[in-house]
Amino acid sequence: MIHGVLIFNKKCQPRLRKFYTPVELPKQKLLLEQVYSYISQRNTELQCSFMVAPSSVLSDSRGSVTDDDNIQIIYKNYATLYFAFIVDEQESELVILDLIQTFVEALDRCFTEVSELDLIFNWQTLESVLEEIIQGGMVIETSVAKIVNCVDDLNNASEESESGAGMFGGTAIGNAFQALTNGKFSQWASSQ
Amino acid sequence: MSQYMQASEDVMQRLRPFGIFFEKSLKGLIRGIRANNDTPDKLDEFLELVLKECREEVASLDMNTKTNAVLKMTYLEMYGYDMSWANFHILEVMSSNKIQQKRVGYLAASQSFYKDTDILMLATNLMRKDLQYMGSNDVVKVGIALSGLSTVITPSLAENVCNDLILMLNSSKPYIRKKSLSALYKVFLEYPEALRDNFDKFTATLDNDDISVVSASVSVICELAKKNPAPFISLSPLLYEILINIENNWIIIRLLKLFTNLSQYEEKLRPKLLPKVLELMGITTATSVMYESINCIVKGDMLEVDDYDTALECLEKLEQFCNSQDPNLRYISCGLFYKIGKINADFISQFSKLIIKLISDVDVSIRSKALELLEGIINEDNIKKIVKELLQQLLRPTEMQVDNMITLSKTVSIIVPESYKIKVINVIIELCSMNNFENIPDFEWYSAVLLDLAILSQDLSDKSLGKNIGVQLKEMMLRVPEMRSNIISTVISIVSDENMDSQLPTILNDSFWILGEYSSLIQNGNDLIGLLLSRADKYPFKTVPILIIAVVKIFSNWCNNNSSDLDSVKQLLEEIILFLEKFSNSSYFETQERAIEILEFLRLCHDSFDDESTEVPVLLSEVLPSLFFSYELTPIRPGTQKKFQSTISVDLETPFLTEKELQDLLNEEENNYEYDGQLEISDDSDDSDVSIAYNTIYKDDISIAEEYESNNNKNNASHQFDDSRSSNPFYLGEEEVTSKTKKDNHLLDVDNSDDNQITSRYDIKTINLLDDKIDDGKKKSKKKKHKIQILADADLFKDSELTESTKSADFSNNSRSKIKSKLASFDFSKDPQANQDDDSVLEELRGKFASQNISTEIKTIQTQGGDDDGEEVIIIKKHKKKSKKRNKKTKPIIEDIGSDM
Repeated sequence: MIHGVLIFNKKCQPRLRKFYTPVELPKQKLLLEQVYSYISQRNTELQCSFMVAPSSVLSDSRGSVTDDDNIQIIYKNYATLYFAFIVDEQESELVILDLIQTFVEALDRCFTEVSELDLIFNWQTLESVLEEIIQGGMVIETSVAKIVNCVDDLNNASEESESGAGMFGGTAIGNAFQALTNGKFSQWASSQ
Repeated sequence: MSQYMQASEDVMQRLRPFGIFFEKSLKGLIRGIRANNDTPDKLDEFLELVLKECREEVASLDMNTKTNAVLKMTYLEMYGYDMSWANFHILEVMSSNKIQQKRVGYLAASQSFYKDTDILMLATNLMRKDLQYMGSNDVVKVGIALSGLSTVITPSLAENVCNDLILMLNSSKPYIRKKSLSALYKVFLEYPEALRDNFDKFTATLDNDDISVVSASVSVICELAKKNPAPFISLSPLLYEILINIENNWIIIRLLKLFTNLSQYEEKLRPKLLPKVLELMGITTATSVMYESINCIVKGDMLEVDDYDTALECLEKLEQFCNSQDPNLRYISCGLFYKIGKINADFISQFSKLIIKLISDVDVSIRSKALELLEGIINEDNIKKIVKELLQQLLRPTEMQVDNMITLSKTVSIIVPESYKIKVINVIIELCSMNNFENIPDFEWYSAVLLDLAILSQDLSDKSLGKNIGVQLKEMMLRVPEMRSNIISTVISIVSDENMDSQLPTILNDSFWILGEYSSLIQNGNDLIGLLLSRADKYPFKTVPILIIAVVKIFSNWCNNNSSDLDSVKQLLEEIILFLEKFSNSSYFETQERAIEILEFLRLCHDSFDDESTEVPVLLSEVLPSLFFSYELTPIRPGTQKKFQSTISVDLETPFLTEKELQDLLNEEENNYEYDGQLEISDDSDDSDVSIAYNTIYKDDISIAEEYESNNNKNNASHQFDDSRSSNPFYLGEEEVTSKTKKDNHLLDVDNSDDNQITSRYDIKTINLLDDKIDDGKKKSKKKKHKIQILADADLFKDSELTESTKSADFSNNSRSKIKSKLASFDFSKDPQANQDDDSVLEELRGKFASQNISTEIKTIQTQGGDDDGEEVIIIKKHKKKSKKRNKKTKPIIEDIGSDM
């Protein structure tokens, strides 16, 4: 299963920190720093995308170490951002790499020329796209089209229920939806 | 981008009816963070301010304001600010009827509810309500609730919602079906009864017309099978069918993972499964499916030790992957290679060429993986080549130029992390020392390698490397008698390298010991002593006690082996006395102890010089050597020492000397025989102290015991008892005449002058690498001329006794007490079968059970009531939430105990 997703930039600023296995906040921070320090000294072009997780970082609510055997961190670099997935041995390495690609492609459909800036200011969109891909650490959807449809359905329903009541999130996600209709941004992810 | 940012700016303005300061939206917050990001302090200050605002806003009666604050705090959690204090506010937002607010609430809850049991209990009802499917628009609401459920599940919540979720598996919306499947995983983990009771309904989802639903179903079964494979074995035929017929690679890979889990558990599946997986491997075109097929065969234990055909088929595919341009593929294939090699090292032995290529891969992490493979392919013939490659990697500068296959032999610099270098050194040592030096074609070469490693280790931070190298030198010294004169010259170069003292002091302990113990091989011991004494101040304080003993041993051999004139002997003796005096006031107890003991004896020796005589005094010629060189050391198995300890009875009562003897001794100073008697005492006591110094374990009473003991029972056992009992024990073997150890023919063929000696050692150091290459052929033929003898561990006890004790020790180290999930310990076969694995869990749960005397009563009523009594459950719950919850938690346990006993 997938235990967590980290998105951060080349300066180690977090853009998304999502854990499906509960991790204490200080540990989350530590983990991010460890992952960053390891990844940042690697040559992403030549080196593989896997790293062995720092030991006993993941713990469940009872405080015991979950099956710490073979916890891996699998990452991909897109422009200024790193997408890192923390997974156990039940996940296939190559599939996770595909999944990251799927995630980015889905984001790309939701933004025009998606860049770090988009993700900074639309954190909630990031969250909701991810929610349609992974639920509680399990992958529930791998088709980009379906993922985006689900995000839209949810946003539309939210809009309806708000019916112009003026909610902040409505705008953020509404914008994403508007951006979606432009639909001319598949280039970005593939060019990365 | 900028356009739509602009647009949202306008909208944003309109959305701030209460002014910008108190109603900072998320965007405002993010903008603020960016504006204040110059220094960490400034950012902290800003975030503290924002949090303060949030605290006020979150208490607001206006739901929008409240939601806004919760959203901001959810975002700020990413920066490390805990928000669990606001859990009740979050719950309020969750329960809002507006979908948007509900989403925010659930998002926040998924991040902060997990450890707050009180709020989880309150959330239970809300979630149940949200899971009710009322109308078309409720798809979204239910979806949100299902997501939330997946992150904040509790046992009582699981039990409460499981029936709702099972019903949702028949929903007309695939969206709901896949989400409820995924949520069911968490429910089953907490409440395994639900899986038992609804197994058929649940597994029916494997046959669904929506591919996402099938995918989710396989995923959930895969994860569940990891925890408890037993109930899913019966699904195997259906799963085979899906595996062969389905075309979706995501699902195929999931199925392969699932089969891995099942095959690990059920041996009978393996022969049936193997051909299917091989078939799949043959027809698929997707690399990832191919890789996972091999992975499934290997990790699912389907590869038998003697199944060379399958192994070869897998390895040939992996070889292709290892030669691929994609570092990811190379890395994981390398890992699989290792696992296949673990099954049978013969499988990978023919791939040595590939593995040697991988240890110089562009990607250091692949190299690091490949290092682990070397164990499987190493042999006498290739070890030199491999070690040379590894040494060169260590020698080259960190930034190195490498031809890169991807970008047309463009050169790139590679960062070799220190951890990799440390690993390389340890791997070299491990490869060379494997199976009692089985792979070493020639020991001169290995001794040169160790010297190189010692020099390379100086720059690395892991100082245990020095110890490891030292141990190797000591092992070789003990086990390869023919090489002793060669190794001792290596050791001399190590101790004459001034950098060692500061950069790799951990190598000195063993080096000193070797110099002392085998000092009969050193001709110009006086020069060596001079060197050691001149450096003594720089050595780490813990090394000095070992140095003291070594110096005395060297001196003992030198003054007796050598025709050197009495004056120089006397002069050196004076130097040593001076040196010891310096340490007789050392603040480190060990050093002081050692210094004073030896000092007193040497002073006696010094006094006994007779101006008339031309002979070395008998104290030096007879007594001093007998202190150290009575027996030759032979290697023994770890643990032997301990065995001896238990068989020895120690006499602590009898004094060294009776009153009378003591008196006689003092009176008859002239009598040489008496002298000997007294000195024999110090002989034994010294000996035991030496051994303790090796260990750097000091126990006062033990050493006294040893002194008494060895004085009274001069037998092998006492000496063996005396000796080292840690990881590298040596014992004093069969009795041998002292002079036997003096192997004059092995004297160092080095010039007498100390200076020459050192410089020549330095030469060795620098030419080593070139040497082995050139000498390769020569040395090989030399090797064939005479087989070098390598001593194995001496057998003092029956093997079984020893191995048993060590084994059990290992085992206790490995056994980790893991807290298993309830599912893992849940017995699906309702018939009472003992499940011994669960003893620890049961113990723990019994403990809980015992501590809950109060709730026992309710519990028994509950179990009588039956499982499906949903309504009753809720009613009880309303009145007695707390005790009810515990009660439910322990319920499956009771069943477990019942069925196990």
